[in-house]
Amino acid sequence: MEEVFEKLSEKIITEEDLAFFLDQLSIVRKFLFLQTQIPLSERLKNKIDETLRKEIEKLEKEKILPSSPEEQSSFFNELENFLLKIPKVKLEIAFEPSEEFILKIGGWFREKVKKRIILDIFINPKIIGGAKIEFQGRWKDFSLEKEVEKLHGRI
Amino acid sequence: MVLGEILIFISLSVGFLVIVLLLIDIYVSRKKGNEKRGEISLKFSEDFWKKLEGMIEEETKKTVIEVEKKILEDLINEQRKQISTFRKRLEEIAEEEKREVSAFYQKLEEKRENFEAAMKRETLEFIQSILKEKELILKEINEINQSLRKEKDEILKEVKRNGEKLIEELNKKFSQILDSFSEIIKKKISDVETSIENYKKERLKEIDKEVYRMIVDVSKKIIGKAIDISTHEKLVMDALEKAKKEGIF
Repeated sequence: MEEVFEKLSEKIITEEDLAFFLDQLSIVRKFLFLQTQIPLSERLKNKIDETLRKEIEKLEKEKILPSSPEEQSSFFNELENFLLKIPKVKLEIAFEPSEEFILKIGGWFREKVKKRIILDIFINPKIIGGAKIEFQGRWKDFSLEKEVEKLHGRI
Repeated sequence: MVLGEILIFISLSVGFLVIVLLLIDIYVSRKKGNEKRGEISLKFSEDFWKKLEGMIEEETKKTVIEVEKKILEDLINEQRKQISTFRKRLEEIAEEEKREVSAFYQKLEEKRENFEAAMKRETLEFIQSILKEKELILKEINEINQSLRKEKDEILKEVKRNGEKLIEELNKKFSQILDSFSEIIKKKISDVETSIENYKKERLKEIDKEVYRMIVDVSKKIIGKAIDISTHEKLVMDALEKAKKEGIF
């Protein structure tokens, strides 16, 4: 099931993406017990993000998504729990990152660290450049601010 | 009042006349009876009576008018006499009053003159006595002044002596106090100088820090502006690599 969840949530990289996805899930839950004779993906047309709706449709066709509303509810609860358990990396950087750069960071984590993470990005121009990184209680300053302070300390 | 009495008198006279005439008529009637017997008779006719009454009335009226006139004339004369008498009396009284007033004024003038003279005398006497008093007081004042001058000189001498003594003592005390304080003051000055020096050092440190902070801030701003997006991205990726190497993930 985790593979299914991974596939469903592969585009969730930042905290904002996660919040949006959870919001979409709450809408899905509202339609679980309404007009149950119609497939869920049909009921969700124009109600949620089309990409997610198509994923749900695909799951229905592949019979991965249960047919009864109760089981569907349980499926989405598990998905939500899975998402909430994904570890977060706090990243303090000096500039506004582009979409591509965020995807690049997400790819880097999958490729180099082999971990599924959610990025919590905080922009602080005072750090000049580089990044301050926090992960599971550990914190490290790799910013240029620190380097400048060191430089002036030597003066 | 007099006119009333006269009228009464006239009425009584007319009455009396009527009575007399009636008596005469009675007498004539009796005599006629006798004369009838003796063939001698005297009779008053009705016309006679009427005429008599008219005459009496007319006479009475005339008499009344005359009497009134007479009374009025008498009255006026009497009044004139009385007025004249009264005027004379008034003139006499006025004259007498005048004399009395004149005498009063004369007396008053005499009294005033006497009073003025007395006042003058008393004033002169009073002024003389005051002048005498003044002379006496001036004498006393001079005496007091002289004695005060003497006392003043003595007091000044005494004050001077005491002042000199006091100054001498004060000088001694002051120099003693100064001596005792000089050490404390020196120590205080030294402490204050040390405090100032420390304060200066601290302030200089603070200023240095401030200058340093400003330099750092300016450096940060300059460097931050100088970095482009691709360099920023590279720096972030480098940071992630370093973190990985340090085992943060």
